[in-house]
Amino acid sequence: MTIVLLDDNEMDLFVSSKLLENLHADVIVKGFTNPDNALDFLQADNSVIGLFVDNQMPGMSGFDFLAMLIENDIILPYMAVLTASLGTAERSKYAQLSRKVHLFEKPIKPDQIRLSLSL
Amino acid sequence: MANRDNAIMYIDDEEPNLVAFRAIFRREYHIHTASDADQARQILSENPDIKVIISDQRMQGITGIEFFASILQEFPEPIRIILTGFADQKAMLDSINKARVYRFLSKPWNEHDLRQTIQSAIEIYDTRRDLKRKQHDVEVALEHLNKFIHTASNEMRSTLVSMHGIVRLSLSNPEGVDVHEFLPLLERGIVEIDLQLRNIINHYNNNRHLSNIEEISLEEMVQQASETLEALIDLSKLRMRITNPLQTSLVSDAYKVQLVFNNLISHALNNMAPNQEYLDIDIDMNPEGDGAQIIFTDNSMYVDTDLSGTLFETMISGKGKNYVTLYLVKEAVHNLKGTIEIDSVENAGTSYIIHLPNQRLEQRDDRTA
Repeated sequence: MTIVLLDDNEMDLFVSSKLLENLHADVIVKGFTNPDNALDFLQADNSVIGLFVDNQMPGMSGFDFLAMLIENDIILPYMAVLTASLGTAERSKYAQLSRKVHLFEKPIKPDQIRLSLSL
Repeated sequence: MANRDNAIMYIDDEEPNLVAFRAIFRREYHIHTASDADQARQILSENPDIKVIISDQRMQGITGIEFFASILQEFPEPIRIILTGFADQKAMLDSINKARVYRFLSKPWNEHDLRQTIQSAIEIYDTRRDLKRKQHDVEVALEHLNKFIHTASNEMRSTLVSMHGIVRLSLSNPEGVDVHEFLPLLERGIVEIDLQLRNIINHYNNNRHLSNIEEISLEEMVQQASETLEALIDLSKLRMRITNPLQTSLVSDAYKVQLVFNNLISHALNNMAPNQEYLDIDIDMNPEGDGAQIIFTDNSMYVDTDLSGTLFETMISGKGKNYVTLYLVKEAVHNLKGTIEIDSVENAGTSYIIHLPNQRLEQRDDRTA
């Protein structure tokens, strides 16, 4: 079960990777700090069960990245956004996307993600 | 003091009065005259610098008070003076209440009284404009301060959230956790927050009025910057070369000059490309005009060189992490009355051309007195 994680902050990438890997023995996390590399991986690999994207990244925000995936018909079973502060504005913004996007505040709570991913 | 740069307008439907007015005051003010309300409006539209309007009260088709009341919305700033030979109480009250007239003078005018009234009106106009400008400056400064607080708080909170994640990870899997793996990450977080707090302190010191003007060696400033940073960041990847060090000294505020070097070096270190082996910094210092030119070149990653007023918005949107550091450089150079040009090329590096003028040594005494 491959989960793709995109976060420009290496410390957050490290922490979130470890927390996601601890969700289940079969979970493999592919971490990226660069959106282009993450996109290349998603286009080439169709075994990805979930994608976690940081909301605030330089150059391309989490919202822009997900919007781009949807526009290019790269459909994933599960998409989530990680953010340092989750408010009404963030929820409304992601509700505009045509696909369901889960929102989690950093640092992620493993139990919450496990439940959401039905692991 | 009369000044030909001060523009005033006189409105009167009697041509000889206009001629007389122009003849008397043409050497003291930049004079516009109008013989009716339409012409006056046209002149006001074309000359937004008019400070004082003097109008005859009794004109054909419109009174001076009616004219002033009609332009109040569109041209609220010029100071208004009414001239009349038939002053009655109602007209005076209307002039104050409806047309915000500054003075009411009798006609034919007394040259001395009219001159003094025009001069007072110009002073009021200038004071109001000055006050408005200062109020605007205060609002802009407050806006900047609010954004600075917002940005710095967000950045620090983001680092704290990361550190919280590390703690949560350790707690969630205590048996499989090697604490030593996480301690360097926690230390990195602490250093990042420390840098943010230093930025806030620097911002305060950058803008305080007191400054210590002295003769400084730019080479020493660079060395001190390295020593300060060494306590915070790993400088083992830094290779720094200084050209012409001994030839260039400067009379300036040592604190602000050091802040410039501190922040340029730390910004370059924070923007090293992943897997970049060394950070090469070249600092070329030359006497130039009444001051010094510093060319700071590094081979860090490309940086957005736009340090205009939109910096804070850029940061808040997540596009310009670490840019507070560069913003403080710009702020320090600006406060030293210098200039800064930035040029960044992708995969090559960034160069900063800074000119810092010599300050006057006696400024120290002026400012600290």
